[in-house]
Amino acid sequence: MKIRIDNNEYEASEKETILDVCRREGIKIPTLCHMKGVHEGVCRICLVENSGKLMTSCNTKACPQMDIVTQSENISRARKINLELLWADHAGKCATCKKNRRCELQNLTMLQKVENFRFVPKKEDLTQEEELDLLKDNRMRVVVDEGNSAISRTTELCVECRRCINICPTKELSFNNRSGDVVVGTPYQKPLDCIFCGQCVKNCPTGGITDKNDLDEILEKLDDPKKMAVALFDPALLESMSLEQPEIESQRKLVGTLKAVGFEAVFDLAFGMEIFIEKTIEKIKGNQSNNLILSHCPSLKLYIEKYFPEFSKNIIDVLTPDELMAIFVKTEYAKKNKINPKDIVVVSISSCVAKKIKKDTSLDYVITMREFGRIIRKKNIKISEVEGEEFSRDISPKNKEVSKMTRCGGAAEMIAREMGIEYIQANGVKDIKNIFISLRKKRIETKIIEAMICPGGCVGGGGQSNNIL
Amino acid sequence: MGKETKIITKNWGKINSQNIEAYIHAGGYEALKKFLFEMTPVSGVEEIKISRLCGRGGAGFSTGTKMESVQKEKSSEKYFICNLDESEPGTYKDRMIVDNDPHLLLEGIIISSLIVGANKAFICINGNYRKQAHILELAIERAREKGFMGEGILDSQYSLEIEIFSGAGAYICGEETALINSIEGHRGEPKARPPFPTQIGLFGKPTLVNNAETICNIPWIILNGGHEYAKIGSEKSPGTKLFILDGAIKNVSVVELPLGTSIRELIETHGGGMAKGKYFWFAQIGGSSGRLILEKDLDEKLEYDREAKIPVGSGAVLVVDRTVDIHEMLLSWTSFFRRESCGKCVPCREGTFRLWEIAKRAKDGKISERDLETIPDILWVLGNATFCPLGKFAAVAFFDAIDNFRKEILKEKNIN
Amino acid sequence: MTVEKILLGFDPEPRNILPALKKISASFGFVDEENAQKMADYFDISISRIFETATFYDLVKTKKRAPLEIQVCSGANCATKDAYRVIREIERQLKIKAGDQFNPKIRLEIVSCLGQCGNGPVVIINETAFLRVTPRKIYDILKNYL
Repeated sequence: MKIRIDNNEYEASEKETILDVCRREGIKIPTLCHMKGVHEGVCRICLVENSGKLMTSCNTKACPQMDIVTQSENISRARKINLELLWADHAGKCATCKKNRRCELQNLTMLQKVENFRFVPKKEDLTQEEELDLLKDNRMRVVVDEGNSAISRTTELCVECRRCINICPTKELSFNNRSGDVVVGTPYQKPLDCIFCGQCVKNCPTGGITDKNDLDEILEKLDDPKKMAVALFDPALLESMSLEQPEIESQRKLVGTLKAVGFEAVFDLAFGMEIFIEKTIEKIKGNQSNNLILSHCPSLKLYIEKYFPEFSKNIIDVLTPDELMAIFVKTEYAKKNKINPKDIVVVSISSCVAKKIKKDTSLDYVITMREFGRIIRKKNIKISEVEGEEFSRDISPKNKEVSKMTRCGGAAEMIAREMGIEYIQANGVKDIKNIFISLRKKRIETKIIEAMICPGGCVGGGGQSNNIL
Repeated sequence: MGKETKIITKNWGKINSQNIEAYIHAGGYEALKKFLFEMTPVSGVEEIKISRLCGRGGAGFSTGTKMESVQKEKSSEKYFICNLDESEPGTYKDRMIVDNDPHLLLEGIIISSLIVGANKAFICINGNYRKQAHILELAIERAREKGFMGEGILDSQYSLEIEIFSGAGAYICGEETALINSIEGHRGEPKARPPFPTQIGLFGKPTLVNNAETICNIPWIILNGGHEYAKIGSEKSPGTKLFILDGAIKNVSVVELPLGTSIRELIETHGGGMAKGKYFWFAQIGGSSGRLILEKDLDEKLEYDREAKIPVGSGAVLVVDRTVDIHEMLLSWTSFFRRESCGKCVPCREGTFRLWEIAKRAKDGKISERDLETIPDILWVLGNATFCPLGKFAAVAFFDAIDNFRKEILKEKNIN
Repeated sequence: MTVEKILLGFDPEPRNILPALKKISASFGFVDEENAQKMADYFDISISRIFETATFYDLVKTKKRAPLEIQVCSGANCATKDAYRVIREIERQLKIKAGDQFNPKIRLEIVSCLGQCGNGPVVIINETAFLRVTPRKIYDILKNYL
């Protein structure tokens, strides 16, 4: 069918929403709650006009005879008021917010030129008693969750877009209460205790759900002349680094930037992956049983412990590439270069949020691409002026191919080829659940299983940066 | 047909309504028999379309059209839902129907279900109506004993099961998609349309949702024909309507009158005029989501018409006298919607909350210039940009109040 | 009655989720975490789904109830009949504020229309309804509960 948008005719199928057609044709429509495959229509930002009537483009299917206008006085009035209403309920402490300059609410507000915030009384108009009441009310409603070492939540910055609820593969989060009392949270306000895949962090438009903050400590250590800061860079992040900082368009630029923020050495995590593959092959060789599960996805381990504990024994007992590599750095590398391991700080720049749970004595910190972006901004690095560099050669993988491990199935394929064994692979909780149910019913019999919680594997990891408006 | 036609209330106060024998003796379940043995679903829908009956829940959509679209859906499973989740403030007509004539409602439900081809009906009743749910349970049992429902109704090929679903207290569940969500065990949030429930409704099956009062008209139409029904009441929307008269009048009551009756007649003739010592200030028509009527508009006729100045809504008429504090009314309206918004979409969740805050400030005499500036903006997004009609409703009374009683609202602050 | 027994009275179908929540809430005063988890297992859905549904509806409670719970209807009809004076009088006599969650013993809530408009203002104390309440009657009503 044909539909009219802004006085032009476009071809559209009946499966497409107006937003789909517009995105395809390069017509810009801002959204706050929309995600691929999710059409909630709750933020009321993606409004368009059809014959004078406002409607949300994200959940209205294309219909013949539609005459859509994407820019009008009413549209921008509604967007502005909606944004202003959201701001009235938003803490608004942008300068100290982790998402400063990477916040969709902030960006939209600037884009729509919202300048006034009139829905809350001016501070000077409030009596002390009223201010106290507001504080009390706030304390009653705001839920802050710092109960784990991977993900922070504060409802103070939440815009109730429900992206996290929709994306969460294990349905940990819920839309609680009604009307203005709505809180996006966990049942009974329990601290989040999930598999920490971090998809919610990746998709949160504001600072409502963020990476657990280790940055201050890391920055301190980067600047400490007595410490040697070593970065392990996860090749999966090549997928999204330019989304975080458009100027990081190549691996060389990336390494240069890592050096510029203060890392003395930048290693390719592919080396750790190689150790991982070697160790895994050794373990498989010494094991007669079937259905062995590869151990590089920390979310998967948590998932098995939580939902299919009987298969914990099937997990091959090998540390993650990050841990293996950190140990290598603090032992062999330190010895060779005559550095006291205590002075080495290993930071993994990772596509994985769950690995934050894994940090230990060898692996000091795990940060995501988003957090690396924050370091760049905090240190005011001018990326355009940064010289491109290569990974440190002291520790580098023999075979670059190993980076395939960042895609689900990559590791299993390499191992299977090497050993001449069978494998199956699955990514995403839905498929993984099916595999475990089949295992339970003894319908699957193979040598090794590779399963990764994030869609596609680490390339779709929770630590990847997201395309934001 | 005279003005005195009573369709819904004909048995009220006359028979022991909860006794099925008394109902049958008064001519009850004759319409069902007529439908079963003399009509087909298609001719049934035809009569209802001819009658031009429209929904009494508030929206006023043509009942026949809605029924026809469900009837035409080719699905082996269809549902009928009787919407008795009455929770519009000032509205208790459906409760009165159950109290006074439960079998009329059941007969209507049975006929409607059979017409559209549903073999399962739900009566979704307001969770606070515990006594009424019990009355209906008993009525269903009696009807089953008589063979009016269950397998092979009166030995025909038709079958129907009726289940009572008691709500859990949420105004928004009066909206049909929200009601469906609540039966499906979800939060009672409205769903996006299309698809309409008539195509994809309860558990994904074609579903007809009708208000209890609407349903009570069906037996009469089947018995007397759509043409006879269309002669009653107004040209635009035929039939009778239950009006709930309350406030500063002599007779607080529920009355059945032809549509097209003027507000003045309602108040003066049927409400007995203003209560002693009370002076008319304004009236609110259709519950908390209804408009405010001044003296000059009293001759407006109440009928279902998209262009009507005064929407009938649920039929609640609240007469407010001069002694009432407008600030308390504002608080009442705004706190209601602030509480009952489902919280899903931004303008409604945040807008109703801010309006309530403004109403509180108005009450304390602290309304600011800034508030006056924001009120039109909030009302506008509520009216134009919300997910479902609740936002629109939330703006109506506030808008009329600011429009008509600005001076009284701002009185204490002396800004104007 | 145990929660297991209540649940077995319902088929594990979605349409029974809300009725089961209501029944558990009514039987135990509120739906606690343990019972919500049992419901989730029984209906084979996540506890987050159970909790978000439970918190949506007024007649399902997820918090322990106070020994004295007072609800006053502030619908427009009741408001024209001095419901707000009734509320203020209760606030004054009990020294509490409507909507406050801080007093563990007494809770005063403003609620939506209960369908008793002809007989307003309506006050509900621990599930007993009082009709046509006036500020003057408050003292006599409350003294039976204090």
